[in-house]
Amino acid sequence: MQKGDLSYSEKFAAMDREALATVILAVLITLFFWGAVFLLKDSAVFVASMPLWFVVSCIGGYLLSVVGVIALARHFMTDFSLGEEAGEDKEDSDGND
Amino acid sequence: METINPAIWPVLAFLAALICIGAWCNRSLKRSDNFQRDFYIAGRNLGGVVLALTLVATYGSVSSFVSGPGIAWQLGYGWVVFAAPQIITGFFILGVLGKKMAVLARRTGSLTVIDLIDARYGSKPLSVLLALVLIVFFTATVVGQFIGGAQIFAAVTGWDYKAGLLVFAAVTVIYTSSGFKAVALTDAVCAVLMLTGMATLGYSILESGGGLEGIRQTLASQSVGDDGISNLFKPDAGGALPYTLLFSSWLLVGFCTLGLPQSMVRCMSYKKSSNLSTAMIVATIVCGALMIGMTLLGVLSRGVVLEKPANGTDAVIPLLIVGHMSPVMAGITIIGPLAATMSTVSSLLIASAAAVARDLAKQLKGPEYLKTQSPESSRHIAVATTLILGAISILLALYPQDIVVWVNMFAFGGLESAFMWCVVLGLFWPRMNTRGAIWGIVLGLGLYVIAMATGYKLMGFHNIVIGTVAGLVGSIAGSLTAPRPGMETMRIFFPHKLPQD
Repeated sequence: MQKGDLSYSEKFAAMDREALATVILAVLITLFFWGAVFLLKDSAVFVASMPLWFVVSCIGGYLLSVVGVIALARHFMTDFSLGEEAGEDKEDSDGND
Repeated sequence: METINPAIWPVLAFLAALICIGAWCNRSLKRSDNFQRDFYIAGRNLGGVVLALTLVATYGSVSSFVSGPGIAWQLGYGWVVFAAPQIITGFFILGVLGKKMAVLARRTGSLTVIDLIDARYGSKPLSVLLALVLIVFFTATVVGQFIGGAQIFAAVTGWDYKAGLLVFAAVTVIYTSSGFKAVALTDAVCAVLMLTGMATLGYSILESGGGLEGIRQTLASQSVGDDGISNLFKPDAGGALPYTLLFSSWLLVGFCTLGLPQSMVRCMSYKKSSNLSTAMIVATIVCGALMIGMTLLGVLSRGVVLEKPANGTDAVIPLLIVGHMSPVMAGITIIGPLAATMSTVSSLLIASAAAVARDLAKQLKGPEYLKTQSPESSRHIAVATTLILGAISILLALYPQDIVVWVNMFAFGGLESAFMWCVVLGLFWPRMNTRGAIWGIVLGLGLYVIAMATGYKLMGFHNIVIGTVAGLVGSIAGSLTAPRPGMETMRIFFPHKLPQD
C-alpha cells in the first residue's frame, strides 16, 4: 500500500475522467484530420513533392496525435497503485520483482 | 537454386534470436510460483516500452506490410486516408480501457479478457459464446498470417512455400509455448525490426524512383482523371474510394480497435500506472509511423514499379525487395513483414490457448477445476494446448481451405463487433447486464457477418458501421429490458456510482 493512495472508488472516478479525456483527444484529432482534407483537397500545392492536403492531414495529424498524447499522459493521467492481486495475502507480495 | 540465396542469413539470425528469447523465458517460467499468471499474462510485470511495442507489433500484421501498401500502389494517396485513423490507435485503447482493466483484473484475479467478462456478468452462455468467437476468428487470422508470411518468404528467398512456412511457423509456435513474456519480448524485437524493414524499403524506393520529386513526376503521368490531374493525388482516388468508406475506416481501424481482445489482454499485463502513460506515448509514435509510413511507401512505390504485377497488387512489395535490393539488404527488409506476421500470430495463439485451457475449461468443468490444478499439470496443459493449436494452424496453412480464408476476411471487424460493447459498456455503464451483452453480440456480430457474407453495402459505408450500430442498439435494448446488475458487481465494477453510506 502506498501512502496517500486514492481509495478504490476515487480511482474509478479518476479512471472515468482519463477515459473521457482520451475520447476527447481522439475526436479532436479526427476533426482536425477531416477539416484538413476537406479544406485543402482542391489545392494544387505540393509540399516536399507531396499533395498539401496529405501533408497537413496525415503527417500533421500524426504529429498532432503525438503532441496530444504527450499532453494527455502528462496532465490527465493520474498515478496510483493498481491494487493487490485477488486471493493473495499482502505478506506474500514481497520479492515479486 | 544451386547456390544458397544470401538473403536467407539475416532471416535465420532473426529466427535464432527469437528462439533464444523463448528459451530464456522458459527457464524463468520453470521457477514460477504462480504458473498460470506468469504463463498467460507475464506475471503482470511488463514495463511501458515493452507494453507499447507488443501492442503495436500484435496489431501490425503482414497485410500492413504487403496488401495495404499494394492497394496504395493502385489507388495512391487516398489509401493513406483510409489508413490514417491508426494515428489514434496507439493510445486510444490504452487511455480508455488500459487502467480500468488493470485494476479490475487484479481485483478479480482475471488472467484473460473472458475471465474479466465472466467476473462482470457471471454468465456461462456469454463466456462460452465469446470464447468460441475468439478461437474461430483467431485461428482463421493465424492461418491467414501464415499464408501471407510464407508467400513473401518464398518470393524473396526462392524457397519452396511449404518449406518456408514450416520453418518460420514452427519457430513462432515454439517460442509462443514459453508464455506471454516470451510473446511480449519477441513482439518488442519484432516491432523494432518492422521499423528497420520499413526504413530500408523506403531508402530503396527513394533511390530507385529518383527521390520524392522524381516519384511525383512519375505519379503525375499515371491514372490521370478527366480533370487532367492524376487520381493518385486525390483523397478519394478520383471516386474509387467513396468518402463514406473513408469515414468508416475511422471506426474499423480507429475507434473500434477498442474491441480487439488481443489488444485488451495487454491492458492487464503491465506493472504500474506510470507504465501506461509511457506506453501510450511510445505506441502512438510507433503505430502512426509504421501504418502511415508503410502505406505512404506503397504510394511512392508507384514511382518504381510502373506496371501492375501479373499476380496482383500484393506482389508489389515482394517485387521491390527482389528487384531493387542487394540480397543481404533484401534479407534485412524481408524480416519486417515476417516480424509483423510472427508477432501477430504469437499473440493470437497464446490467447486462443488461454481461451481453450482456461476460459472454456472453467465454464465446462467449473471454477474449482482451475484452482485445484497442480502447477505441473497447468504447465503441461498450457504448453500442449499452444502446440496443438499451432500445429492445426500450420496444417491449415499448408493445405488452405476456402472457408478459413473466407472467415479471415471478416475476422478483424467480427472481433470488434463481438467484444467492443460487451467490454466498454460493461466497464462504463452500470446498467449493462448479461442480456444486453448477448443481444449486442448476436445483433452486432450477426448483422456484420450477414452483411459481409452477402456483400451488402449501405451507401458505400464499410459494414463495421452496421456491426457497431446494431451492437450498440442490441446492448441498450437488452440491458433496459432485464434487471440491473447485483450489488456485488456494483461494488467491484462501479464503486463510485454507489450511494455513499
